Amino acid sequence: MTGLPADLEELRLQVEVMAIRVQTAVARAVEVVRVGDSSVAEVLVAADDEIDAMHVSLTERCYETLLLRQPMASDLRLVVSVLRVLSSLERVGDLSLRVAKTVDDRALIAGRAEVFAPMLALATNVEERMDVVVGAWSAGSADRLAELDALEPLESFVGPLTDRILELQGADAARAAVAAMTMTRAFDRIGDHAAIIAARLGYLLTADPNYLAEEVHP
Amino acid sequence: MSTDGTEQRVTWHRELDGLSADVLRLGAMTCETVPRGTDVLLTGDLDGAQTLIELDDEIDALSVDLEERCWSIIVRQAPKAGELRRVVTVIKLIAELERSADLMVNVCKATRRMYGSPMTPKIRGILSSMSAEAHQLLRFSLDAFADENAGLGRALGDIDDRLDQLNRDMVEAIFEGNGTGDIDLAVAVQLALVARYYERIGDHAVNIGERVTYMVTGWLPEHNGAMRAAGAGRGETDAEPGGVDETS
Repeated sequence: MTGLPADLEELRLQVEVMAIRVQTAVARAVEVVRVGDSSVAEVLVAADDEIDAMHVSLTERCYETLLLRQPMASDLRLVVSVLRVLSSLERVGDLSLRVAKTVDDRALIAGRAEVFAPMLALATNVEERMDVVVGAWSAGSADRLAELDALEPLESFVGPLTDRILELQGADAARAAVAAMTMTRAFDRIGDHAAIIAARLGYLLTADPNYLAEEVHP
Repeated sequence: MSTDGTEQRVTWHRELDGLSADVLRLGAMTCETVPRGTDVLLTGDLDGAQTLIELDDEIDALSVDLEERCWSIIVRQAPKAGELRRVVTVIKLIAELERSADLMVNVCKATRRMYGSPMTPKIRGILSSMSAEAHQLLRFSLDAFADENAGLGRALGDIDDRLDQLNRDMVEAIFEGNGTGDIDLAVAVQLALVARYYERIGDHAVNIGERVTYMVTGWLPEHNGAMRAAGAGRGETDAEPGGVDETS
C-alpha cells in the first residue's frame, strides 16, 4: 500500500492509538472517583500531555494530507471525520483530567451515599460508552455502535443525580454540591463526546448522513 | 503569471478576506451575547433570555456556513503555508465562538432556573465583573485576529488570570451566601455553574489568542505539551505541567 491509501491507513491506526490512551484516561478518572487515589491523578496529568501531543501531531498530519494528497469523496470524509474525532478525544482527555483534579473534594462526596453511588453508576456508564466507541473504531464496525443503545441512557443518570445533589444537607453541603456537580457535568460531557465520536464513525463507515443528525453539539 | 492566473489569485484573496470578515461578524454577534446575557441574568428578564436563546440559532447557522466554506476552500484552492494557517485558524475560531455563545445560552437557562431567587449584592458585583472581563477578553481575541497581532494573542492567557481569580472569589461568595442562609443550595449550584460559564468564555478567548499566534507564527502552545511529552521520554522534562484546556 502506498500514497494516499497508506497515509490514510496510518492515520486511522494513529487515531486508534490516541483513542486507546483517552480510553485509559477515562478509566483512570473513574478510578479516582472510586478510590480517591491522588497518585492516579498525577499519572493523568502526564498522560494528558501525551494526548495533547498526539492531537497536535495528528491534526498537522491531516492538514498535510489535505494539502499534499487532495483527497476526494470517501477519503476526504475520512480526513474531515478524523479531525472531528481528534477534537473530541482531546476534550475527553481534558475532562478526565478535570475529574482527577477534584480528588481533594472527593471526600466531601464519598461519605454521602445518596450522591456517591449514582455518581459511580454514571461514571461507569460513561466508561462503558467510551469502551464501545473505541472498540468500534478499532474494529471499523458500525454494527458495534449499536451496543451503545443497550446501555442505560445518560439522562437516566444525570437528572436524578442532579436532584440528589440539590437535596444535600448539613455542613459543607454547598461545597459538596458544587464538587459533585463539577464531576457530574464532566462525565456527562464525556458521554456527549462519545456520542459525537460514534456519530462521526457511523457516518464515516456508512456515508449515512443520518448519523450526523445524531451528532451532539458540544 | 497569466491574466487568468492573476484574476484567480484576486478572486481567491477576496474569498479569504470575505471569510475573515464573516468570522469577525460571528465574533461580534457572540461578543454581544455576553453583556446582554448578563443583563438578562441580573434583571431576571425571561423575555430577554428567550430572545438570546433564539439568537443562538442564527449563530449556529452562521458557524455551520462558515465552516463549510473553509472546507470548500481547502479542497478547491489547496492553500499553502500562511493562507492554510489562516483557514485552519478560522475553523478553530468558529468552534470557540460558537461554544462561547452556547455558554451564554446556558446563562439564560440558569436565569430561568433561578427565577425569583435573590442574589446577594456581593455576588451580583462579582458576576458583573466576570461578565466585563469575559467580554473584554473576547474582544481582545477578535482584535488579535483582525490585526494579526500575535503579541496580544499571547497576552490573553495572563489577562485571563483576572477572570480566574474572580471565579474563585465567586465560589467563596456562594459558599458564604449559602452559609448565612441568603441563597439556597439549588441557587448556589446554579451560580457556581454560571461563574464557570464566564470562566470558560475566558478560556475560549485564550484559545483564540493561541490560534492567532499559530496563524501569525506557526507555533501552537500545544507544542509545549508535545515537547514535554517527548522530553519526559528522554528524562529531560523541566517545563511546568500544562493546565487543563476546558474548552467545552
